[in-house]
Amino acid sequence: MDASSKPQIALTDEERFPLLDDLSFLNALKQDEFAPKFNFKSGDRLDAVNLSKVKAYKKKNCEEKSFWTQEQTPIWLNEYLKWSSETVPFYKNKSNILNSFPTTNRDDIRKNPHLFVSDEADLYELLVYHTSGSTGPKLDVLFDAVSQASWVPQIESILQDFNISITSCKKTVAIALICAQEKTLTYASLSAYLKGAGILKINLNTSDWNHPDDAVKYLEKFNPQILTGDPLAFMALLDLKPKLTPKAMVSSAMKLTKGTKDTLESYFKCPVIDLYSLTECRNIAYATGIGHKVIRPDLYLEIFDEFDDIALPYGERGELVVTGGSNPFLPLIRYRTGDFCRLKIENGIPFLIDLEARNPVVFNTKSGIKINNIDVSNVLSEIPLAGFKMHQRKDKLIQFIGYSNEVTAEVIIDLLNIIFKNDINLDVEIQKISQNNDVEKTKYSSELISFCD
Amino acid sequence: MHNQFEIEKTLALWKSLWPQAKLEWNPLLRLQEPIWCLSHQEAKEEGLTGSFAMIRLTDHRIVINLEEIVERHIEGYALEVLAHEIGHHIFTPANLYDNAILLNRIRFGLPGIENRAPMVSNLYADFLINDKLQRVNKLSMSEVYKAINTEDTFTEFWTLMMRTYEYLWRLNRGELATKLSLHSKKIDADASLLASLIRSYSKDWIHGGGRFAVMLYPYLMEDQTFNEARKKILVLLDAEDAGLGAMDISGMTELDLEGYDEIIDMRKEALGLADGDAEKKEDSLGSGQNKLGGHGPRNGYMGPGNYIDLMKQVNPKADEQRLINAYYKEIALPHLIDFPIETSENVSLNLPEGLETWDIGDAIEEVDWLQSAIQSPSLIPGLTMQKRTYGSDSDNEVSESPLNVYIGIDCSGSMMNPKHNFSWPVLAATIIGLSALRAGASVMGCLSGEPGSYLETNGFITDETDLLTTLTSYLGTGYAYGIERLRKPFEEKPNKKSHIVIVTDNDIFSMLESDTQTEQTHWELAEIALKNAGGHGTMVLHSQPDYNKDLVIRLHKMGWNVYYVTNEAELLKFALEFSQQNYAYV
Amino acid sequence: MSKYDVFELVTHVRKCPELFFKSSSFLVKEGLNSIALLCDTYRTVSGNFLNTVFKIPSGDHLKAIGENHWRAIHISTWLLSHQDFKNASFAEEKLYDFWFEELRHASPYVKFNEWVSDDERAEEMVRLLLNCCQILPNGENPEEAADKLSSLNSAERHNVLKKSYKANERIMDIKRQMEEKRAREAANTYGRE
Repeated sequence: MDASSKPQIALTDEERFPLLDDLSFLNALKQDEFAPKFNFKSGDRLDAVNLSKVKAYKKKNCEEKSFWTQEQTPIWLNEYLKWSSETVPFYKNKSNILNSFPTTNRDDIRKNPHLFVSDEADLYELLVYHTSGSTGPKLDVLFDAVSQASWVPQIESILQDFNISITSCKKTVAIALICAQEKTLTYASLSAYLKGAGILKINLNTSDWNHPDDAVKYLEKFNPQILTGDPLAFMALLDLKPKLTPKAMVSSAMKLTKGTKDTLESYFKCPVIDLYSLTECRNIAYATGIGHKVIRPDLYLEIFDEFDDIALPYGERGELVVTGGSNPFLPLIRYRTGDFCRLKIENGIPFLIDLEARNPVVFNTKSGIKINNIDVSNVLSEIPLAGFKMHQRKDKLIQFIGYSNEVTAEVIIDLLNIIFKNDINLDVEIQKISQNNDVEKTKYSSELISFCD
Repeated sequence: MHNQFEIEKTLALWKSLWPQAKLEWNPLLRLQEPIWCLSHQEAKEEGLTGSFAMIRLTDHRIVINLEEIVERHIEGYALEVLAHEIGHHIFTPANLYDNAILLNRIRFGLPGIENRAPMVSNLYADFLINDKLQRVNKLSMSEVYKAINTEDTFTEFWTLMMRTYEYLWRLNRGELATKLSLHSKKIDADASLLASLIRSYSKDWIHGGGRFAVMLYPYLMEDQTFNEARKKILVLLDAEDAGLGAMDISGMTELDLEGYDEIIDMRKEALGLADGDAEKKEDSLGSGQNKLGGHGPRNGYMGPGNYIDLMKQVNPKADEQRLINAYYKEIALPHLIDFPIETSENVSLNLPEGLETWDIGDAIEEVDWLQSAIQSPSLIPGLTMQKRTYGSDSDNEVSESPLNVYIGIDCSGSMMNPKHNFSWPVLAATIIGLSALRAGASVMGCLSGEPGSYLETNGFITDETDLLTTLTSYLGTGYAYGIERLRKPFEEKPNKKSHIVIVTDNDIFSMLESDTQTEQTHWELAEIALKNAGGHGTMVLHSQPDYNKDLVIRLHKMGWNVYYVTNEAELLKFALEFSQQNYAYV
Repeated sequence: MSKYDVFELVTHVRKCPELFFKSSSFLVKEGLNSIALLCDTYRTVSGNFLNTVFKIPSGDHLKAIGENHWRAIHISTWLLSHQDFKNASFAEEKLYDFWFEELRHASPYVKFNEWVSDDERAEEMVRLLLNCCQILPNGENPEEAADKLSSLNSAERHNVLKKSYKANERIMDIKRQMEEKRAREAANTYGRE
């Protein structure tokens, strides 16, 4: 059972690319002299019906100018709740009034993924994304090709804000997902939505390539329009000093500090976008000067108390809770994201203010003054750290591990001493970013049990 | 220690009611008095934990924990509890063999969650016994449940179980299924079907197990709900480990096709959907054995992994190696040469020597019915049933001494673990090896996956268990059988001539050609070994016949036979031919 | 023995002679004369043996009654021959509903012989009748009686089973599909999540 739960290669190229007759560019990507040792195959799985659904999604959701207001929930919401309570076993027999729904969480999905599948969903379209669990126990996320491919129009709507568009045609790599990990699935693929443009998922780890220089040569040769990845992968890429001219870089999965963003932008000379997304519902928002701007009119967002099922008013900080989405295999109603922020609406567009992954952690100075992790994030975001872990032991010692090729431990010690008012013992370590990292997201933890008041 | 006085008093009461409890089933029943445990500690020593009673099919005993009985305030239900336990012994599951069959059928009905089978089987048996005792014998089984159930006992699953009793015994809603908040129309509908199942199959209970399991499946599907439900009713599980300690229950390797046909969803039947699907089922049975996971000759056997799982549910203490030996031996048995027939003229055959107890697992033909009947009017395997033992003349004159056999098996990375997947090479080796032992020859077995590791018997041996244990082990190293392994038995001429059989594939040629870093090449060693062995040498190659022609000719010239098999089932054919040619006597 | 004791009436149903299992003369030549049977029953229940006007469906409706339904009706006339229903004139006007509504709803799900051979179905027929005639079974309060009937109701159970069977099949289908390799190959991912 476990063996079969791993991703496996199972299809022919005709099944992977029902709409693409000409796969010559795919072969060029795969057979290039500098190509990595791709270990997987993947397609967009879009047939004509699916493609028209992606296009319809774009039309409906990516040109929306006003999502909802404080007074008026989005118009689709009631219909969505009704549909869910009629066709989704997990929500069956609930009413179609939002306030009658309790929150759901990752555990609900993990235990009963099948209960979230709408009766109307065509099981032939079912796809499974298996997360192995660096951020918790393993989880099967069910989705279909349409909700997966909708990633691209979602990103297009962000790029619009920067007056950038993706050129859709054969013979160009539109998107390259850059990884810097010990091991990950890698493949070359195409996108029917982008009219046959190339899609890459590559791992900078030298063991993935025939020759250590090949990664740079390969990327330079195909010069992808959009680079995606996490800050660690981008910093690893930067370290290789490739001559690339991406239109934009999309960073996700980890918090992108201002320092890292600046470093990347000055080298690659393009906007580096800090994207907030979840496996369970894809992209949600991207960072702007006044907070994360929400890009999904098909998601309704609320803020909840961390522990109790109590919705908090606009402006109050709490856990972000999501309703909606376009995935018939995982309709979400009041799904707890595990991330915390305040919610603010500006001209019908919601913004997530002070978004922090997971629950806030409060640290203590030696004399017991409380320091919020948000203050730490704000200060550290100024320096080019790709990521960090900070932990406070029972004896109040702060253990800090940062990932960076530039920042020194001294700089961190100075900054933390300022935050902690020179009333703290510190143990700071800086680890170099390599092409094969094995680290988790930025993380705060403490053995001193205390939470925000 | 709980109120000692209470416990002693209960002991006296229960002891006095034991004969009456037996009367509930059969006035002639001969069953030993239960083992009365006066404390949790004593119960634990008997292997009874979690419940107040249990049965052991291996020694036909009932174990009662009186301290638990007193704690749970069910002292007053001696007849009910004792008659229930007796029911497990003489009604269902009654004996180890039927217990194993039932478990296997229930496993069929719980695909993917087979680990629930012992609990499901226990509850199924409980239904059958309790329904008889309540309705026919008019015992108050329902009162026992009332006494034991607490608010905390109930889950959706347990509500279904108790609702089923309410249907069976025409009780009011909530009399047994007391947690009304868990009631639902779905549970009512399912309970009603279960009740009719219990009634319909009370005589033929072995045939209802599959349906019962399918009905329960949705309630036990999720790990967490199952674990929770089981934990809460642990106190009632008295036969989950009934087969603990049972050894060598034969006949379980073969696929139970009849049982498979009984995996029917009663909901579907009730909806009248079953007929429409009969055709579909026919279809799937055609390709069928796949769906059933048939393995080995004629796809007629369950896989070794499944066999081990099942037998470990029958007997949680079963030794895996012993099981796997039994598995391959049982499948090999029909293919072994006949026992050599002694032709001495002046010795009478089969002298009756005495009587022994006949138990489950012994062949049914061996029962001495007359002696058993003399012993007791009721036939209880392992207790009253007898078999006659025979002595044979030991003064055997074998006209011709059979050659020994050396069996080398490629156990490299390309081979599968015979504990997880059915292995044709292991079956072939088992057939040849056991045939040779029957004929009176000695056998040396060697698994080899080299470069890497090997495992061999301690020279030529006659011990069946040692041989099987070697043959059914697994290495999964290297790429082929290591020719170097021939050195130990055949570098010098052995005392007794021997055949050599090596089961391998084309990679053996790479092995033959590989650098030995000594003067002697593998080719030379293979040649010398065969000469010294003095018997036939056969390389069984999993390969197309024309592959590596030149090298094959070279082997031929040395005197090696090369036997090609293009699929693994042909290995069986080879093993049969080899055994017949070399070890069958006319 | 008290009147309208469910157990007593069930025992009575289970003794139904096979004669009543026969089909109707509307459907087969050698079938029972259903109309005569109904009229007799009306007479014994009402206690008015001179009555000649009975509530019987019209010709078209009679034709629409299927064989299994007729046999259930015949068996129910045996139940109604129990002494508890003699001279129970208050029940007379309910019989039409019992025969042509209640038994019509139930008969698609109960094979006629099960009304007699299966304890539970026999009880269902008894309770259907008592409920229809607004008679409270001996020793039961209205809630109890209603619950017991609904617990036994074949039509209701059929609907529940249909739903739960469908839901369960769907879950199994999803689980199967989740194990399929084609689902496990998934599709392009474009960014980290």
